[in-house]
Amino acid sequence: MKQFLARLFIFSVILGGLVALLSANYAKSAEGNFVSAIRLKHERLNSFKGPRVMFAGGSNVAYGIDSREIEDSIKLPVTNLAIHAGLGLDFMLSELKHSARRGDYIFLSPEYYLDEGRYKLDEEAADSYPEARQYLKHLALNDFPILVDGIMEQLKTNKDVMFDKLSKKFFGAKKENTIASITSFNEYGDVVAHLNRPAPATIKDKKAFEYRYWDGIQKINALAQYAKDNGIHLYFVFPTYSRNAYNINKAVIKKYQNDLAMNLQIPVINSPEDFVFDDSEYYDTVYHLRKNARELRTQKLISIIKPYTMM
Amino acid sequence: MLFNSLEFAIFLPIVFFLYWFVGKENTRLQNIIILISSLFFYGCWDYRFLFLLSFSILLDFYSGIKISEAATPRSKKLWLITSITINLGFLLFFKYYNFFVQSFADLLMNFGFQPNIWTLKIILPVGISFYTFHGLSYVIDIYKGRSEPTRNLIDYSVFVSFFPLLVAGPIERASHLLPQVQQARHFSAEKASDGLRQILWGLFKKIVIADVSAMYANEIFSSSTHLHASTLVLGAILFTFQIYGDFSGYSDIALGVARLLGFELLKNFSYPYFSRDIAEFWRRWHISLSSWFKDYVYIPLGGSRGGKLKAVRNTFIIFLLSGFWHGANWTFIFWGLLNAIYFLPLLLFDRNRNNIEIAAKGKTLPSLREFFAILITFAQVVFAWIFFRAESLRYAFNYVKGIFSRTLFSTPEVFPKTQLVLIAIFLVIEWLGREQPYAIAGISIQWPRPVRWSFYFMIIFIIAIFKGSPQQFIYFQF
Repeated sequence: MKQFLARLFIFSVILGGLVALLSANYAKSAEGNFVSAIRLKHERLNSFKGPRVMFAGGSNVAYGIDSREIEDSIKLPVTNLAIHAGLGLDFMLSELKHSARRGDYIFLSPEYYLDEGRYKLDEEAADSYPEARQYLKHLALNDFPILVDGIMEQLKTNKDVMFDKLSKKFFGAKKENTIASITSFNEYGDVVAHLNRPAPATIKDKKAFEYRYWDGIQKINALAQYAKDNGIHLYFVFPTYSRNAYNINKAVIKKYQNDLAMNLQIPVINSPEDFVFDDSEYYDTVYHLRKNARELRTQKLISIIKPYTMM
Repeated sequence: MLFNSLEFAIFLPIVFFLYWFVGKENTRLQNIIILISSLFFYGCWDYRFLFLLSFSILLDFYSGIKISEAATPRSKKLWLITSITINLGFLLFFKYYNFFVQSFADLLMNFGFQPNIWTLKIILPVGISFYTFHGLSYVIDIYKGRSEPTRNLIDYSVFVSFFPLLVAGPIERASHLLPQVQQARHFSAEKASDGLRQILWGLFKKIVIADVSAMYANEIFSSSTHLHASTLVLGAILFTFQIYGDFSGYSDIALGVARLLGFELLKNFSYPYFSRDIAEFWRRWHISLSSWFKDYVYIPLGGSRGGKLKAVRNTFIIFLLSGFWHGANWTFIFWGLLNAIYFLPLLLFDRNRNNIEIAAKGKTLPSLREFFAILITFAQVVFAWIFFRAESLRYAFNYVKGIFSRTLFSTPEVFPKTQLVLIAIFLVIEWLGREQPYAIAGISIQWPRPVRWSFYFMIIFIIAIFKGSPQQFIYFQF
């Protein structure tokens, strides 16, 4: 037994060393990646003096609205703060709390059952925009799984960087074709790079939800109290969702909607059906709208939010 | 608590240390530690069903004693029937109640009636199909005089609820596992290392092969209506590897964990995708279930004795039952039927026991004939999995219809290159290790330690780097 445990210990120590070596963040890749758009968004947001309109949520908002059109219509400066659902609800709410000021309008449109997200993505955002450090969750002992996930993700990133370098060395530089880049956003913070591209054959993230009471309600209510105390207008807007995925989850979404109606302390200003479009209107996931439906959603969104921005 | 979760990674070392250091050589104490750990493990899924599990344990434990003590054959039979009825009653209620009600309502609607159906929101207790079959085999074996009942409730509880096999098998037999529970177990470093190695290989199968294939298979199956036929074929192949990686990976982890604690469980998989006909496939796929049906259904029905017609009837019965065991859906029944149809020519021409040994035994490569036999069997299996994976029969037939279209030879719209390369590497390793209990059992143990450890490190890093988003083990729902 002793010998077995000794060997296991040595094996674990070597493994730990290898993990530390291979999961170090060699290339601080924040500059230019998708989440680094946070810096540009906040630069825009901070450039306005009076009341501002902010759209927040995951990529359903980033990919799916035309902020310029909304701004022209409601005559208030609009910033699309949304980037990626992977940043997580806590990060987004903290970002709003730290960014909003009296008189601002916030339209929050998280994806269904949006959770804590990926801590590594939050850190990447903070690497690019140091202000965002204060949005990060303070890790405790029971957040150990977050650290493990972070290590795994860094290993993956390092592998990608290495493969990319090798591929460039042996096959020459390839034309940059990814949407996961800061250049995919326009000056309002909307993702526009996908608009004129052919969509992939399938759309991802089509999954069946299992009903549960969403803990995000309580988190949003905490922000609602802060907003109320500080004269900030906060509203909840249901996200866009592909028809097929919506039909699969209709019953669960109905319960989710009921829970929001009963427990959320901010106005819910639309219904889930408002932004449901045929699957062919989506780019690569059930949340990412293509050009045509993006336009339709924007029009409908304007008609929904306009009465609230004229108060 | 999934085998591939952080919780299990904490749970297992704690159990290991308590078992070998606190339990030491005291078998009774070791069994108590296993029992408490198993109940905790099961309670993590849903503590409410601990009551059901405990009831099932008590029922079969006392039925076993009563059967053995019964003075007359009639009372023996009565106890057996009581145990079987209650066990199957629970299984039917939790797993099949809604299916029967809905199917009956559908039938009435076909005749123009509008029935007001009454279904229940029933949660399927995890592992019910597995522990029910454990209990059934125990009481039937005692009734048949094949084994003696234990009078130690803790031993029997460990036999049924042993956490590595509790929720997804292998389906154990009392004659195999119970003596191990009753005997003293001594730590063996060699066995423990072997157990860890098998766990590692199981994790690779589950996390890299199954979970990543699942991501693509789900994507293809959920958008099948507008995809090329070639993509649909790829989707079916990916699901084929998903279900194999998922279930055989789970079984490897279960066997490895049991070995760490000094137990040997029944082998559940033996390289089924290298089978040269469907009969061989069924001797290599989910072996503990196939042999259960063979011993407790097929042979009591007369097996192959009594002529071809009877053998055909019995074969169809066990395949249909096997399909139905997997779940309350017509797709599983059709999957069973399809396999029975595949099996039929082999049975009629007495060729169902042609391939007993593993393909190309003792050789590096198969003969051309073997290669094509493997390929054809694999194609049959892939085709049948479409029905297993589909949500409904209509969906499955549409999927199959989609495959037989003009786009069969076009480039697939979804083409996961990295995953296909990983599957190819996985197949090569499985082929090289096919004469071993599990693929890396032999190829790594002969190597010098630095090389061997480097190989393990490589597998660990491949798991970390190429892991897919965690998916529930498919067989937990059965």
